[in-house]
Amino acid sequence: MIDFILDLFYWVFAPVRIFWFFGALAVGTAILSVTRRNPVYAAFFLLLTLGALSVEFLLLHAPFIAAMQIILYAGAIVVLFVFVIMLLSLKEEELGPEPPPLSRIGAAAVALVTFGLLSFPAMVDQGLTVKTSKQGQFRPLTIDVRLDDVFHTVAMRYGLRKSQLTHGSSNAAARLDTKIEYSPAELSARKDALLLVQRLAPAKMEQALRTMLIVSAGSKRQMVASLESYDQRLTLKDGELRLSSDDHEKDRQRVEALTARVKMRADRYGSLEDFVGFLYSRYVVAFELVSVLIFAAIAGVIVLARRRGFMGIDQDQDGPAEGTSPHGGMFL
Amino acid sequence: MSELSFQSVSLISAALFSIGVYGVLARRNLLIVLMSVELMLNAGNLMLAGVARMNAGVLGDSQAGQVMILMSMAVAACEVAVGLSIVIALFRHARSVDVASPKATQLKG
Repeated sequence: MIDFILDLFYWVFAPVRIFWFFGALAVGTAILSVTRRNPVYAAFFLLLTLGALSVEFLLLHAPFIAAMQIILYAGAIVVLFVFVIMLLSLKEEELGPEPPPLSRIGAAAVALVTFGLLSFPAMVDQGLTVKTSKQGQFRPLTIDVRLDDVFHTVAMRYGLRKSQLTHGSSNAAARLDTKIEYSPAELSARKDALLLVQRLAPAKMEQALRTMLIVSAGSKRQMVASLESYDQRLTLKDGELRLSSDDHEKDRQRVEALTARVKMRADRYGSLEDFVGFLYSRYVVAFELVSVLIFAAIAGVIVLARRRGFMGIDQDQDGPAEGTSPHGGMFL
Repeated sequence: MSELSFQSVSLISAALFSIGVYGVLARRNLLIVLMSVELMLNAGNLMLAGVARMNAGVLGDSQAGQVMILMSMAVAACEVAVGLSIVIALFRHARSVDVASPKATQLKG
């Protein structure tokens, strides 16, 4: 009985179901939001939409974005909307008339066409969605990577072909050449492995590449090269790169440690540490430019919100005399 | 679809975006038009997160999408601040938030 309940629990709360539930919630509340006549209701439905979207961000491994969604959208933008709605305290006639049915139908038609165009890539399989794994599913974030996979991929990636193995044994070269012909699925997995290690340590990758070239240009049988960065030796044996130390247990541990590091890197995807690493290195200029944009927006808002005649500015302009407003009030 | 897929993300994103398009085109209340623009920005953000997730561990730069979401959120905040002050300016001028009200349509420059 308890097993059944647990099974049911895991079935109901599978990520994909949570995703669809909150997706449907977001779409439903969005429809309600744009169709309400009272802007207060519209703002509250918008708040629900944004909250549902923050769950979607969590499920897409973007926890920081999910937090920002709640802090910035719910905490700032919707509050600003509600504040302005309350400030204006609109009467029924100030909301304006409802749009005529014809314009609504026209807008709905345009929206449907937009939806069709945008969701078309999602409907057709694979053709337009690049680099997704089977059926467009997201690939798992943890990738099982082995060191020899990485070196074979380096060889493949940098075009270590027969023609380039000028001094080496044609025998070993041929073996290496045949060894690096992978099936598309294998190729994809190995490319992932390579790119993960590249991200982990680009300099080490560079050294690995150089070592590969030395190995390929080396003597017939003794294709041994030192790989300083890994502080260990590699041997090309029967067309496969191997760690040459006699201490096999140590080798295994090293490979496991590297694999664990690569895996950890993949697990950290979307974490604040990873995110901020990108934000403050590669995208720091864009980040600073955004602050300029915010400053410009503040200046623009001050200019727009300034009241004619307020504090002696523009006193003799031809604006309407203040104080005659039916609302009275300090701002309007 | 038994697993979370890029298609589902892009479907929801497309739906939200087209709802935003409807709101911008059909509604005459400037406040709700602004809310619809927010919806469209959020649809774009969701798509960016989906693409970033799709490229996770593949491209060296797989967090670029998430960084871009942060930028677009900042842009959205600016847009709302300026937009709402325009709403207040329009209301002062035309005594209505209707974008097609007689006084609002006289606005130039």
